[in-house]
Amino acid sequence: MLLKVSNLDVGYQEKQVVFQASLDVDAGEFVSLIGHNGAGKTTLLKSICGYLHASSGEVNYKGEVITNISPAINVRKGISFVHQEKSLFPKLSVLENLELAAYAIDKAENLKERLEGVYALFPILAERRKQMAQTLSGGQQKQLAIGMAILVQPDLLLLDEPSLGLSPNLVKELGKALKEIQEMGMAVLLVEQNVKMAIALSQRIYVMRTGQIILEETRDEMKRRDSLWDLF
Amino acid sequence: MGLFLQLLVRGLITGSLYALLGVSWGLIYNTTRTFHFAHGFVYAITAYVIVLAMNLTLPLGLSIAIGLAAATAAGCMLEYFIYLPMRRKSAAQLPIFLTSLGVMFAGQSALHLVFGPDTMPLQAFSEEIFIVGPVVFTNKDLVALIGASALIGLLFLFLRMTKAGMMIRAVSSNPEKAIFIGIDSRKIFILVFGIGSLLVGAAAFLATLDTPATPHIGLNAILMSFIVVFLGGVGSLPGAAIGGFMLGIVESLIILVLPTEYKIVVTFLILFIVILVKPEGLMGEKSS
Amino acid sequence: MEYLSHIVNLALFYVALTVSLNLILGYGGMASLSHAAFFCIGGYVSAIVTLQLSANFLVGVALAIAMTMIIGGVLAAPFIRVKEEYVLLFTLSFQMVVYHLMMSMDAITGGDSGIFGVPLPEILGWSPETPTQFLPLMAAVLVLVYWIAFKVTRSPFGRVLKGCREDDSAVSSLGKNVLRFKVTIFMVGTGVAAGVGALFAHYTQFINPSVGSLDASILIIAMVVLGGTANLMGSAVGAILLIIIPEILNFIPGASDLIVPLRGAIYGILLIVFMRFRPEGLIPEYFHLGKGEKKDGLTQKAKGSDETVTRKENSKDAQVPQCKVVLEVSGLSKAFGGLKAVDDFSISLERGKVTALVGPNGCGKTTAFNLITGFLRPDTGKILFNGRDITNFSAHRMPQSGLVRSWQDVRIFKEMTVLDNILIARQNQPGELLSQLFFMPWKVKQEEAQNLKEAYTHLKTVGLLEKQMELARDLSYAEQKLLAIARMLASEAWILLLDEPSSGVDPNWVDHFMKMIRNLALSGKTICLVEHNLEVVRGVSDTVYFMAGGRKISQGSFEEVMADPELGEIYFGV
Repeated sequence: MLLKVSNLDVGYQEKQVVFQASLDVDAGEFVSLIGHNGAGKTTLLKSICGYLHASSGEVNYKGEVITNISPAINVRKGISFVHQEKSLFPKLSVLENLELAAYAIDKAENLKERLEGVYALFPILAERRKQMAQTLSGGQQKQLAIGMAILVQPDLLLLDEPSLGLSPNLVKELGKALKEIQEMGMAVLLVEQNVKMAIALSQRIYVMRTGQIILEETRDEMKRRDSLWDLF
Repeated sequence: MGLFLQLLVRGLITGSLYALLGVSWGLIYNTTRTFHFAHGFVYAITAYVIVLAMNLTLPLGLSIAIGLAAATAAGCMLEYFIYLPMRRKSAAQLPIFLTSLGVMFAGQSALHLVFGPDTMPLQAFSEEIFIVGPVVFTNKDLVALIGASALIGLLFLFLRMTKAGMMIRAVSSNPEKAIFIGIDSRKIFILVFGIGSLLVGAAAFLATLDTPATPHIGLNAILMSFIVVFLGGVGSLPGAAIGGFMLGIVESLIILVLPTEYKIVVTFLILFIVILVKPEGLMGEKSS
Repeated sequence: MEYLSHIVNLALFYVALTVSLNLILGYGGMASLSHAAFFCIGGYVSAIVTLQLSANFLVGVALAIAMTMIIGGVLAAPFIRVKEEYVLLFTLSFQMVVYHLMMSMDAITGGDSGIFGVPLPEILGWSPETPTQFLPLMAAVLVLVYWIAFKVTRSPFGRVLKGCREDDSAVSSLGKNVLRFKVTIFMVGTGVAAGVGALFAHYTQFINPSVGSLDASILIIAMVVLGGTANLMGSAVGAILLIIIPEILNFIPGASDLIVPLRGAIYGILLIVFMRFRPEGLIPEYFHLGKGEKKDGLTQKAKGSDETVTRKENSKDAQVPQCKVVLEVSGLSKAFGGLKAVDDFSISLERGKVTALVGPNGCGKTTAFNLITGFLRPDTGKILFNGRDITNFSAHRMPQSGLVRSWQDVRIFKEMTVLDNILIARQNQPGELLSQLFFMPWKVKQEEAQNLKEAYTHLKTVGLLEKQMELARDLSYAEQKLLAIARMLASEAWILLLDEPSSGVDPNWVDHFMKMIRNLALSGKTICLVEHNLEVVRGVSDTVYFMAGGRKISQGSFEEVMADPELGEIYFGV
């Protein structure tokens, strides 16, 4: 087991948002977490990587307890996170954004090859590498954000609603890219509003409602459902 | 025309010092959002350290080095022992500002208590006067102008060319993301306080070449620092640099039409008007 | 003896000055660095008026107050809109400008040396010639200042002010014009400072710029901070301590040369120590809550609240809706840059019905909400409330016309008591106007008693009556959401727009909220909600509007909408 989350409680000050959440992700597996807005998906994801403080429960990664350890440390252990929005440095160039992701954790060896790998996945980034990140279009910014995350070759990629604000065409492209990323051997934990895309990509799906994980199903079980409305 | 040229050159010289003050404070403010009023105290203490070292007949270079080391240490210590613990307790901007104000006033009073109210001139090297056409200036002016401009240039190069510089820019442009990619923002904050204080120390040295140190020199320095930053635009260091030069020149040229006493009034009026018309400053970005 | 009286007078001056700054800093939440400048302006105006026009000192003081209040208002109006640091920037700039003007305008201010021979105060032929004689006058002035400060802060006006300090938008969503309150308190604070400054000039018969320096402004801030922000008694303690400590230094032989820097060092160190270790000051704001004396007083009153409340038409603007369709929105559009966030959106809300806006993320629900509640201006479209056009009303006018919103992140006033959170929501309170507060106190009192009664009924409705004197921050999150609902009810609005009422609430509480929303509809309120938990939408709504891409795609009962496979395609993505 790559990641095992057990009975996590997370909240902000007096407000508890996630209640007793448990989930796991195997090495190389693609898992999605879906549910209505405000169900606590992003909060859960941010506490897994240590950004938000879990008041109880445990996050176990590669057999090591990493509950409430700063994301700055977890990224060195191989957990990369992609934010819903603002997942890059707007006033730095595309190339600087990518390089920085590697420098920040002192992972500069064969940087060139890894950059080529990212460019192969997202060719537009190579074209725009001198441009300031904030001048990119929404879809390109998303590609850059994911590029920064995979450049450091993590074992686990946490993605927070990457499809947000993208047109249907771009969502399709994004889906393809995510598939390729999984094929590179990274495990993915995806939080998505776009349920169709999440189901299409994942082996297993967790459903969250008002702070609790209410369901865990495989892709096939999920596909057999008549209506998805019951889950929201 | 002669007078105009002379004033323009004067303005450039003071402007370069304002610009250096502006970028030194702006670097700290843009990155950490700390309203670091005690920057003025760091300025004053550097001037005193250099003057005292020279009075002990230490060589100029060594005196400057000691002064700048003191400035850097003072800035880092303020961040580590005062601002960081307050930020950890998630203190709002106001308490942090008031603390900084306290440091500034306690600090300048301490200088007054220890060294007395008298002026302490810096005898770094003997003055030479140059006359170029209608313009008169000294070698000290030249050192100030070139020194300040060079330091500003070096800072920009550092921020653009080095890994540390890139990390500083990253933290000021998106602090949350910086943590996620593995940057320890606490270290960056201390680094930024160190560099900012080093630069303000340099500004103190360059200014003290011409104007002797007193316990109260810090106040004017910090005032000019943040006027320049807000004038040029929060978030934009080039804005601060340009704002500094502009302010220096305008302040100098204003003498053509108004008595000198009104210099500071005009300075603040310019700030008032700019902020009213363009709250984000000359080169700042509109916040959403 | 005279020396002692002088010190006492001096201390009283500073107490008054500190109280006036506390109004701005502690209650208004604005760090003004120019308080000494206002003090000094007051002194100069009165000195010049009495000397040049040989007017009575009362005329001088009155003119000083009036002029300074105008200056304060002009200064405050623009900077209050912008961020916190601009308040520092503006007041600091103002401080420096005033100081330098006083120093350099020799012809008017006497420059560095100031103005001598300012006449002594004279009231009906009586003039206090010695500090001891002056003492009763000073004491009376201080009592007056305290009376004003208490009147202003412990009133509906003060309540709104405390709200503004915490959350501007929440205050405007309750129908209050934030700018008015902030500018008013800034003017009151500067006015008091100017009055005290004028008196000071007459007392010392002399005024020069030294009392109006930045150091002096910071001294007053230190006094406020030391005593405790937003605690008026604390201000007295802070001011007296900081006046007396340096005076003691006078008695240490050889120290006299060092008094100025020593004072500075003491103020500085006190600021650091207090901000770092006891930011609430010597006497914290809610000192009295700990002692429980006020608590008892109010619970007493609460006992009388069982009597039936006669509903009074409390708002001028609000009308009881007569027609079935209470709110009619048509053709609403709003674009940000090139992007149409809301596009030709129409909705009608019926009395006693619950309408839900549903749609995928980014479909424009929240923007539509902000347009209807006046937090955004629509590009095109019309909003009719009860047949009346309210399209371009600003946010704070909506509740006055009977339409109020809640916030997804509750936005109750955490540093206020539960009861105050309810009371603040009442519309058009006479006590929110200083004119009524000072000249028609009986009206305010009457209204406040009525408000209390109403508040208790609403607290009872949501079951928070026992917690009325607790600070809202001590409530659980679900209780805070309940409080937010009670606050909407207290505004007596007919239309309630709920922004994600179930979000962040403990799963066990969700049913409770659903029941409450149904009950509100039954009692005749018109409800519109944005909600992502479809369980809740199914449970409470009569009509569902399905939105996507800023447009209304479909409308009907929950079951009808969910049965449409096309909507599923949109909601669950490609």
